[in-house]
Amino acid sequence: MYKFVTLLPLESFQYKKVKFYSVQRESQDVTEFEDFLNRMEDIPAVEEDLINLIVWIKEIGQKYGAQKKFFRDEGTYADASALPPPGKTMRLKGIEVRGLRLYCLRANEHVVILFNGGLKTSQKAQDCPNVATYFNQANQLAKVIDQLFQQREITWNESFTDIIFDENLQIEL
Amino acid sequence: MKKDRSKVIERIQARIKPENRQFVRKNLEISQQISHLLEERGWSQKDLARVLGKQESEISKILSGLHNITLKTLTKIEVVLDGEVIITPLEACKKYASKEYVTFYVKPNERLDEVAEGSFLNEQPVRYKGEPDQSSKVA
Repeated sequence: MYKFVTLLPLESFQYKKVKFYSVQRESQDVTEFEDFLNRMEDIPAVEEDLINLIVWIKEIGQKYGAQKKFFRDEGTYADASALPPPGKTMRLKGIEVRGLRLYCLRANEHVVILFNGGLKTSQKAQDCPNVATYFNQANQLAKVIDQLFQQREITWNESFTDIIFDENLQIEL
Repeated sequence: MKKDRSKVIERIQARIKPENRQFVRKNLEISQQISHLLEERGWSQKDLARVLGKQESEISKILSGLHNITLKTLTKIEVVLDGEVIITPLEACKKYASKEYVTFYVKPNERLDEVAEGSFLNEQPVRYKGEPDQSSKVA
């Protein structure tokens, strides 16, 4: 089991309205988002959805911003009853393209951190052999990254349009 | 040949077709328009789901900008929200080409100080130099 991940900007997805980030596990060659794309790109049934997802990222990045309505609530972390009041805590979100699920953290309308995902085949993510691992991982990441915001290890720029963090920041899971 | 895993974004971007762009653009425009109508009516997504007899999660899907909404569902939404979500260019021309635009000329009110003092409020409208008497005309 890996212990550390690094937070990285996705260079191809830095737009005027949204900056997209992902995380990379120690000993991995690509980010979690790129791993998701690599695993999905050769599945003919989701090819169209994957392409539309990339277009969608660009469109909301350039034109709309990461509005709440574009994302679905996900996660056990979101359902935990001991959480601070809504609005104080970032919650795990999902991007849904038919059966495809990509888990993410929508930090605000301008910053989204993309994790991993897969082709969901069960009603509950926890029961789905394709996405359960990524769902649990994303939940854990969402929780730790949220704590890093609260501890000010990750902060905002003046206009709240991007995040600031040490490039050597290691996120411990 | 082994794939270069770090080039996956470029590979997928190279497969984007004009119809993918059009599909997502229209989808997001529809989402924005439905949200606008909901806001105008003071409705939540929950209200819309209830009126349509759908789960709230289905409304979330529609508003995500990635859902392949059917014309049937779209029409139902237009009916319950009593507004148009999509309009074809031909219909748009018919509807908006006949709009009448009116220009209003604005002049500075030289007696603004007096308004502040309260002595102007019950007087007749100010008539500027050279301006015809408008008092009998309906605006």
